[in-house]
This record gives sequence, C-alpha cells and structure tokens, in this order.
Amino acid sequence: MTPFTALISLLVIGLAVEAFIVAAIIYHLRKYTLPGWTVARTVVATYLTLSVILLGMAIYWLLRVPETFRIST
Amino acid sequence: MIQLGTNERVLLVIRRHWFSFLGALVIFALLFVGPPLALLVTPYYLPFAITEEVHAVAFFLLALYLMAVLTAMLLTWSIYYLDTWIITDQRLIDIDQHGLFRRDISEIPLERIQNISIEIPGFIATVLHFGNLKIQTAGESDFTIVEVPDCYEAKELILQYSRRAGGKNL
Repeated sequence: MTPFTALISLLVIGLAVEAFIVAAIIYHLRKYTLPGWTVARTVVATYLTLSVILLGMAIYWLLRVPETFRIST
Repeated sequence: MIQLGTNERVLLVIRRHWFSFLGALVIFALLFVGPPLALLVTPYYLPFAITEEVHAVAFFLLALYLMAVLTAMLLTWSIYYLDTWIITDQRLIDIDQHGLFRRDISEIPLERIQNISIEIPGFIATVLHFGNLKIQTAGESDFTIVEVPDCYEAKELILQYSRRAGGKNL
C-alpha cells in the first residue's frame, strides 16, 4: 500500500463513518421534533454545505499530493 | 414526528438555557479554529517544518479533521436540541436525550400536576434568568427540568393550564 492509497482509504472510511452518523442524526431530528420546525433543517443544511466545501478541499489537496507519495516503497 | 391530539395545542417548548451549551461551543470553536491557524503560521516560525511535499498531505488531513469536528459539533447540538420539554394544553411531554440512540420519553397529563417549585442554582443562573423546575405529580415520581430559561414564566404557564385542566391541589 502506498501512502497515497492510505490517504484515499482514510478519506473513504471517514466519509462512511460521517455518512452513518449524519443519517442517524437526520433520522432522529425528523422523528422527534414537532412538525413545521425549521431550525433543525437550517442547521442540517448548513452542516451539509460546510461538509461539501471541506470534502472539496480534501479532494483538491489529495490530488495535489506529490508523485513521491504515490510510489510504493 | 411527535404526534399531537386533534385539539391539542403546543404552548411552550423548553430546552436547556443556551448557557449549558456554551462550554461545548467554546471547545468546538477552539478545535475548529486552532489547528488551521497553527498550520497557517507554522511556515513563518518553522520554515523547514512543512516542506512542499508534506504541504498537500497536511492540508488534506486538516480538511478531514475539520469534517470530523463539524460532525461532532452537529452530534452535540442535536443531542442538546432533542433533549426537550413540550408543554401542550393537555399534557407535558418530557424527552430526555442521553445520546443519539438513547432517550426516555414520558408524559404527564396536566391535571395530575400537584405542585411546581423553582430552584435557582447560583449566581450565573440568577443573572441569566434560568433555573430548575421540579414538578410534583399525583401518583408518580417527581419530574425535574433543569436549566429552564425564563423559569418563572414557564411555571406560571404550566400552573395556569394545569388549573384549567382540573388540577385540584394547585
């Protein structure tokens, strides 16, 4: 495994864990709040927007990882 | 979603005072801002610490770290948000959220409320106008709502509707 592959694995595992946690949070917010409440929706939408920006940054920097990290040692 | 009766009306939704969330908010703010600042200023103080090769890896790991902090922040907020008391004109619904997957939900019909007492736990509670409400009910154990904002108004509202619902010991 090259360092680059390890970084990709870290990204995939991190995303999977976060997706599970966020899905559980959204499920509970939908189930245990009163109808018509918008605060939870606003917070979740803000979180998702920030997460997408950070994910974009992560992918951007991952693609800029130098060649030396992509070669198996 | 929480289902209300056909003629049931929500009077008040109580969550803990924002002060109880302040500590977590400060910690998350430091966790969110600290490492990026450290990574940005490191090249100025330690020019050889972050070489061009590790620069991209460092920023990649920073982005993943910030995503994790953001998720932890959302998780903490959702537990705070879901831990709530809903007062309707018929009953009092207590949702005790202990974690994301663990909660206790109990209900008290307003006519069973016998007495409500207020405890102001200290200086900060006095200044910020929050306190603990202890609700005594007929035949059940007492219920306590901690760190209630505007606790005197909440008490009056519950007592008012409890009297209307037929509470006899008030």
